[in-house]
Amino acid sequence: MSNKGNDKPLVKMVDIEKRFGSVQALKGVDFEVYPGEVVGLVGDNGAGKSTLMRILTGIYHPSRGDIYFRGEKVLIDSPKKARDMGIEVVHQGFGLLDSMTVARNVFLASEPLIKVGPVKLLDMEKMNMETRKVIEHAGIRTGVEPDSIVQYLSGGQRQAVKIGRAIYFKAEVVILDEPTIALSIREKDHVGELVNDLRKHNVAVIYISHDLEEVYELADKITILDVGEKLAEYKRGEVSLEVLYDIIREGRIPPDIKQQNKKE
Amino acid sequence: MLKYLSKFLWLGAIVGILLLIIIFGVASGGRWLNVLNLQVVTRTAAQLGIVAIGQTLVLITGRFDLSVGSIFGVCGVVFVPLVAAFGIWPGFILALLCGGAIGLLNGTLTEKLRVPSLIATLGNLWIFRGLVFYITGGFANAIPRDLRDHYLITILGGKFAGGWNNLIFWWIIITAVMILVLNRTKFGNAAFAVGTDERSALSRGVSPATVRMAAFIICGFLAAFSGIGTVADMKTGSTTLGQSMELESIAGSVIGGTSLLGGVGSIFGAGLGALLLSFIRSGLILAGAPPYWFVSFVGVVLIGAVLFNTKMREHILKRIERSAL
Repeated sequence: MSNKGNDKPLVKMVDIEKRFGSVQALKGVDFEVYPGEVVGLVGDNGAGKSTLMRILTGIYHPSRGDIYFRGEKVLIDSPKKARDMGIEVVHQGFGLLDSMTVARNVFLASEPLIKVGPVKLLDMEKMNMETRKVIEHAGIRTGVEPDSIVQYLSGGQRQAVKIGRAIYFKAEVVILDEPTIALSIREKDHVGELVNDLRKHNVAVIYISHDLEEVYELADKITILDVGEKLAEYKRGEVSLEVLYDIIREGRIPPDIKQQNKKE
Repeated sequence: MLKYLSKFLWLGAIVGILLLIIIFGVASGGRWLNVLNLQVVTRTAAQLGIVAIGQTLVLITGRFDLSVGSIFGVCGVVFVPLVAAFGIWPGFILALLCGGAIGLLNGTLTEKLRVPSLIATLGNLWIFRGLVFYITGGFANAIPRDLRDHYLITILGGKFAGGWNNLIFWWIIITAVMILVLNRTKFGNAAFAVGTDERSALSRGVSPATVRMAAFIICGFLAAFSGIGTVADMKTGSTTLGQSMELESIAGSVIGGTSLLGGVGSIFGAGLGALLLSFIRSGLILAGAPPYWFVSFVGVVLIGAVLFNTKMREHILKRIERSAL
């Protein structure tokens, strides 16, 4: 793992429980991610992955449990608070505004301003210049300019812009929620490169995907959830991809793997 | 090239205006193109144009304001008793504030109480039209004779440079300011974002409710200003003041390239749309058609403009997708 000597977790969620009426969506889950670490968060539908991340991003409040950020206990009570702390989410479905230019998207709600007399106007020059950097940094090589309308970008280019934006605004934690759905093979590879780039920038990445092969390839650590509980956690190479499939399919750790882990 | 052209939402309106100038100019044997007629046409366009600016802003954020005609009417007619009671400046400010307050009411109903904007503003259309009848008692109210020459009345509704209405001047100023606000401020960026995709905007920290509330209030102020200006120009406010302006302002916006789905729109285009509708109105009068035909024409033009814009966008998208393959 390339966490560059960071031995304290950036985010630590302890004993997180979440109830929706009589339904217990999370039953005392522990989760942590270090700077520069890519954690794959996997599990079948209804495992609790989204609920856990919604708690981390301030959309839901936990019924019980604590969240620590840089070792300090924090209360993340709104998405804005999460963003201010440097926690960014990259969704497949949303996050960019189709009818607007790339530059306006990148800087939405954080626009650089210049004072012209008594009024503050958008500093378009700076927005375009900085967006060009985001585009270049995100490795988008063809046909995208700061004033390109997002509607005309491919799925891969969109994801690249979102990840580029997170890097530009110095996000400390990036949650990638199914980032490669409906992308071509080449575009998927590009997202993989960007994840490695985030790792290089010492960003903590939480990678949620149904594509286990992809997670297996990218993640330094894989956390498996099942029906609201943490079933297991493995570091890269500790188990094979086939075993991972088995664990998720069965909803339990096969006895021989358990035995193997105990010996270690 | 197509991507570039698609940025100019108002191209269709320009083509329409040029066509109408040629048709009316030729058909009337030059009568339509004389200065006197153009002064009348642009005055009507300015009244509608200022309202259409507010409507465009609300449409961009993904909402409708069907109450603009009644705001125009109620603020115009209430201006008369207010100036009589409190004097010109207080009367003007109070009448203007009425528009802002109705905008705030529209915003509260739609954004806080979750009433669909079509219903909330339709309700207010009727409520405030009723109030217009109450204030006027069914007649036209005139500004007191001794106040008609006050400089504020002249600034709002007088004439400049040999007969051009001052409202035209205000229309140009407001258009320029709102173009700046929409394209070069944080609020403008947020307005487009909210109208395009509420969820994405929220995820970036933009509050859709706050942005839309502001849009309704600005729209209310603009409709009020135009109504007051019109009364200042005519010196009277009647019960029909601003009637059917909701439809006309939406038509003007749409002709100028604003999408009824939100997120796309042009203030400059709305101005052209208002001008085009005013051309049609005067063309019909010149052709001797009864005035009520105009409303039917607005309906036809509205549907036509929506169809044209939708088809154009589909066509451009298809062409771009094909060229990307």
